[in-house]
Amino acid sequence: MTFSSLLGICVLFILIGWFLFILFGQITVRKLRKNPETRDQLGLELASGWDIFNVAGAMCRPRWLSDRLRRSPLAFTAADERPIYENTNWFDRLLGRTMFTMMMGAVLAMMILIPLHFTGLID
Amino acid sequence: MPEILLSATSSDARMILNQCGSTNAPLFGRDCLPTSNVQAYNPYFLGKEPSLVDQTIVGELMAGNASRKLTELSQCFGADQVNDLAEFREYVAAMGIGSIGTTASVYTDRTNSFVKALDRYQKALLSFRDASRSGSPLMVAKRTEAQRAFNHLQAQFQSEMKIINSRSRSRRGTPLTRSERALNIARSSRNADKLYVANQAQAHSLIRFTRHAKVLGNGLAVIDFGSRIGKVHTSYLAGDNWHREMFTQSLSFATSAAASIAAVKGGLILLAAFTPAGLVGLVIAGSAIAVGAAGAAVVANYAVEKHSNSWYDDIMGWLASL
Repeated sequence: MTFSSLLGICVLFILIGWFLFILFGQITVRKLRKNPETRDQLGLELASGWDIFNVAGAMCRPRWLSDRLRRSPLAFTAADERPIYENTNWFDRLLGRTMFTMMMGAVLAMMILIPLHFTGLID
Repeated sequence: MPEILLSATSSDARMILNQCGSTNAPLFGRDCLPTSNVQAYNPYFLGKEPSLVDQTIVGELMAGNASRKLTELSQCFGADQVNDLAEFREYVAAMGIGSIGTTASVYTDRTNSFVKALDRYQKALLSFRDASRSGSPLMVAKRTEAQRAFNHLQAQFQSEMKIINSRSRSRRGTPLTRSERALNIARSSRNADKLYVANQAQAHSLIRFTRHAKVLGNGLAVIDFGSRIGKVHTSYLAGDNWHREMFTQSLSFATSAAASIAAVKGGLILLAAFTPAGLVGLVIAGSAIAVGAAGAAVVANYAVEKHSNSWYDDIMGWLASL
């Protein structure tokens, strides 16, 4: 496959990711923002809507990483996954995890593809 | 860093120093001359001869009756904690007023409710102190109230409490780490308390960073989006295929935004989980992350802009062949 079509696949995944991002924000994160139990646990909001990524990221983290993060003084930058798990159902989690892995995976693939293309390993 | 002594009662300097546990340190008054008498609610330097900077600090303490309030506060909370609380107030003031554009953010909400919870705790402690001094029968009720306010703080604001407490030097615990300590301090009213005036820059530099990051984040997106619309409009005016230009620009906007968000998110997680970096580290490493994110966005933008023309043609060709 050529670089152009590989890149196109990544971009397609990112577009689907943005679509799911809006759904996830409207369905799940809006619910969490209104809930007084989770409202304060959504992490640092660097730009508006950033907490949607924080929540999705918290759902994707393995437990050891969450434990490690909790001990850091910077733990407030990420969302706390415990109250989030208590206040979401399987569909919310499926949506969040799909969105996050799709976006992050596509960006990672793109960041590997582009240097390979520039060094001439694929064309 | 000067050590400043504040006392609630006027008395002999030696007696007060004895109570503090530092017997033979010299005491300097406001005019920087050694004194042997301590007046109530006046700041005094402890130990070495005060410098010019120290004098400014005391001057500020004297202005507007600040030293009286400080004395009362530090009797209630302990010196370390007053310092940290002051830092946190700075942080809250910076957060609350400054966030233009994206108002009513989650974080502002949170700091507001944290300050309210702290206020409630402090009020409960103060009224317990009053009750125990006058021997009021309400003492037990006040005690449980203070305990409850503390539990609420612990449960709801873990990360903020951690930020505040991480800088405390007290071995016995402080009113914000242990409620028993707070209740003991409130009951056994001590006469004088040392107050450490440290450099307050650290905590609120972080907050400035987050505030600017937020305003900058949204602002950059708007500018970026605006320039892209401009490109589409230019190609429309020039009589080019502006549909194709719009396809290119919206695709590369979506891609480069995702790339930079992924870089920031990954960088923050790495920083928090795998380095001992605290708040100061965030400010330094934050700029590195920002540069990385910008780089990722530029690279993604370049690659997508370059290739999306052929994708557009492919899609159009495929649609035409249907």
